Amino acid sequence: MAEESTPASLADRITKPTSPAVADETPAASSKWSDEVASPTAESKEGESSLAAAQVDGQVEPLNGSGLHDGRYEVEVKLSDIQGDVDSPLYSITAFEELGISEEILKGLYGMNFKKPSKIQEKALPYLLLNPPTNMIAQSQSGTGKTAAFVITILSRIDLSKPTQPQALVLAPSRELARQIEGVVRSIGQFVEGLKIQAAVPGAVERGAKIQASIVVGTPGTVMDLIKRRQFDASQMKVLCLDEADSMLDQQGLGDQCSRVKAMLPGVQQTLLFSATFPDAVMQYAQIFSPNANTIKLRRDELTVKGISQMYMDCAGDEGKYNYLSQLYGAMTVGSSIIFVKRRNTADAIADRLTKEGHHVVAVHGAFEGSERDRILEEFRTGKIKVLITTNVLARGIDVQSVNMVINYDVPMKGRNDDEPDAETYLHRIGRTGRFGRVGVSISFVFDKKSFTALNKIALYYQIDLIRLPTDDWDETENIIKNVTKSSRAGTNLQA
Amino acid sequence: MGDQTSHDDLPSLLRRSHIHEGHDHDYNTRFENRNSEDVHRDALATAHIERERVREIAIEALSLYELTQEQQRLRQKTEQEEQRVNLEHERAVELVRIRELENKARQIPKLPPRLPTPPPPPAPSDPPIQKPAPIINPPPAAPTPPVQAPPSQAAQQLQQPQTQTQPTPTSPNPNPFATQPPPAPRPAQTPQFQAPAPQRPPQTQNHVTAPTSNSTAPSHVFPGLERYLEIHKNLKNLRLFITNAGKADKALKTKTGEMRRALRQSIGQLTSEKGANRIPVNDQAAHNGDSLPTLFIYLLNVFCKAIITQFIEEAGVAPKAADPVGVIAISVFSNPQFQWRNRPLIDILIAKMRVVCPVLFGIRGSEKTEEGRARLGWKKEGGHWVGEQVHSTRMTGLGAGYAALCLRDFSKSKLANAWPPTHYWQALASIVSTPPDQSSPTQFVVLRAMVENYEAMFLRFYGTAAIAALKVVLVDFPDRALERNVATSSLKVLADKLERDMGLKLKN
Repeated sequence: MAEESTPASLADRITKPTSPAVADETPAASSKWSDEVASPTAESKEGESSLAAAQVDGQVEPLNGSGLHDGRYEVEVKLSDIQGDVDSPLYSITAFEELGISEEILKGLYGMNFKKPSKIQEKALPYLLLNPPTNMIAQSQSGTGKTAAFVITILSRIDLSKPTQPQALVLAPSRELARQIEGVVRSIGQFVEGLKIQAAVPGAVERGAKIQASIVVGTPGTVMDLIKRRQFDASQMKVLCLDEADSMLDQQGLGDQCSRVKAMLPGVQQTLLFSATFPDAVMQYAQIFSPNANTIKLRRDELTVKGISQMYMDCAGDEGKYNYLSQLYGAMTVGSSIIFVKRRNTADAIADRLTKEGHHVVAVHGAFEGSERDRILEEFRTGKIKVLITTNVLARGIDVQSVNMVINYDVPMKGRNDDEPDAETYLHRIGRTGRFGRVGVSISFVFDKKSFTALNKIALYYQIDLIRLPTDDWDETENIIKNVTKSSRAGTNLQA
Repeated sequence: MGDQTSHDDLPSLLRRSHIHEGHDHDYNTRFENRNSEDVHRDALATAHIERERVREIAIEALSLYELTQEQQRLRQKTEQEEQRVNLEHERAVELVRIRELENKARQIPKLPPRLPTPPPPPAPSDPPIQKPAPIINPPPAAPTPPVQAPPSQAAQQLQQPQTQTQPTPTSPNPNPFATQPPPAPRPAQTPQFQAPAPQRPPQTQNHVTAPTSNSTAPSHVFPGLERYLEIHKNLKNLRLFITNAGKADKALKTKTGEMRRALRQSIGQLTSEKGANRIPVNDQAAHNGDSLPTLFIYLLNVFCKAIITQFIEEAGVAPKAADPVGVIAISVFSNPQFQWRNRPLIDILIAKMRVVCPVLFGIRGSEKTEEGRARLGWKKEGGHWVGEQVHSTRMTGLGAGYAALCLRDFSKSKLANAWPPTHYWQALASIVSTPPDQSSPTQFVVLRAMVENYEAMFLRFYGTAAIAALKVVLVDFPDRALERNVATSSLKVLADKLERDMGLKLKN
């Protein structure tokens, strides 16, 4: 801020009226204060002398600062330190204000405490906001602001004079994710007048009621039904966006439904596909789905987020895992945490045991009803519940900023007999932490040869160095976690 | 139902038996006598007997019940007593071990300055105490030295800061939890700690800032800040000491490690629902002696560290999470169990705050210079400043945390607030009085975090004055900034939010 910090004149600095007074007041501290007689003027400016004189500022020697607080001798911070890591997915040179976003939307971003665009936002937004609208396929690491990028686009595209006419549709693979995106649209659009949003997830729209919103966020099945039943007027649809696009376009899963929905939206001008992962097979189809799209892709070794420290623990048997799990909560400062397990009954069992230890825990899996799941997620988001135990239902997309620990209680597997490590799911799971440049820890539990080999394969696939945590000396474990977190924050990925 | 023995006592019974025992009396006889006095009396007598009987049973039952109660109470008492004795025994053993360790450590050449200095003086002979001083924090900038002796004492302490946080259990007082204060030192000490009190504003009871001399221009930097850095340094030394001691004694290392992790886990478990306050700091006795056990301070220190880290790690991204953590912090320090001679030890926490978030205490700096960043509490890791985002997250968490700590309502509590809301006002005031050319984004970030979610509490404490203050904080101060940037805009948006959500119009 004070870019041109004009230093005070020498005379000013030495003959400050209050300096002696201050010293007088503190006979006891004289030895210390004498060192700091000069400090009050550190930032004093001409014309501010009365206030500046009163400054008893910045005793920073204990903080590695130098004793000299004269503005003239203050060393400028190195450019590299200001810019940060150029390779970081969060690195950008622009500010939101330079991206041509409307004032109302900007306000919403400020309200959400957004500071600077991330790389994906900086790169994609100029293309996304381009006229005429152009398609886009964008890949970016987990927690780097993909959702905000397309939400800003959609908010910029809709005609607010027709608040009840559906104009933009966002599709997500799960109801939780759809609800979450709905929340993001509301937050970013909180200062946009006349904005109407509606969720189209199972149970959210009454039978026979019409969709009365300009932005609709939903799951493909429900949206398809609504359009078929004429509850959803898709005639003036301008933007279609698929979040977690690779799983949405997967031919074995939702791909078919998504294609059908798209066929029902003839007027769409802009189709957006976003995901953290785009396997090659899906990418081909994506280019058919979203033709002539601008494409942003990542290399495989760029996929993992450096802010997430990835570790593992070698547990003595399946049963041993629980004891280590409960100890981890003391070994690091945990905000919220997610524990991924394979089976529902494991989830329930762990939930019981952790609850007994005073944690606020809940287990969520497919056995819960939709509205119940919405409620639980909301409680987790607001921090009423701090430990979430779940199966793969919630591996993707869920963004709860305060999650700083993810546990792979079971290594993710796929294939008919669960014999193949599921690298994509692993990436999405650990991506629940380390959101937007924050530091997160992921710890995977292995206990036999199968789980060990599987985890090893995943590590090789992404070329990550998994760090082993000892299980016999928790002081040591505590130290390793601390150091690894530190180095991943610095982005150096030093070994512990 | 009939109670044979009691029948004999009553003459009426005899009459009754006349009538009733004659089963072979024919019905007529009985029918004829149905209104006789005898029958009437008989009935009365029966009723009387019945009443007596029931009464006796009741009395008996009652006394039996009382007996069992008494027995239970006694048993409980015995158990408690046993437990207490056990605990005390364990504590004593622990303390002896600590002392042994200290003795051992004293022989380690690496740590000479700290350890030799707390000489174990026989408690009664040396009234002006040394050890407790660091926690109580005699303000270093006492305007008029109230007592002759203490200042020099303080000076001595300031010159040798390391010696202070080592309240080594002294030999004559092996159990510092003995509730009886050593009689001799007390009167001599009191003036030292009470001296600044009359000069302080009524709400802030003690410690920290002693007002600077009235003649000086109002300073935005709080006096006595130096002291916090010293406290902080001393606590660091204390931690190092415990760590080193742990290297020598595996059991101590394990034990302190477990306690540390238990504390950290408990703080991490706090939610907005209700503060499940299970802080395993296991000291119950009121602390009155002239020293506190090292372990006690160590654990408080760990507690504060956990609080600060929780602020940074969790509240930085979810500012509302600061609230329960702040509540726990303030209630622990306001709780007599964790006080020393009814003085809160909150300076341990504030000292850390002072180091990690100096702008709360009126300190300013430019984010564009090395020194400026150091002053602002911008963290360095691996020789480089942490990224802007990380810094701003830290400041957000700490700002929200400070608000959560300051803005607590103690009007319904018997306890005295260890860190009353005036400190919140002070922090706001010191930041917004920064001249535009010296303000920094860090200040805007901290301000926003301090205000957001705490508007209602602030208004509750300060009423109209709070509205005026909010206008300055959210409108005037960012408007004055030389450079409009995200930090200023984010602060200003709060004013819009207040107007939209609470109908509080701050903008002109």
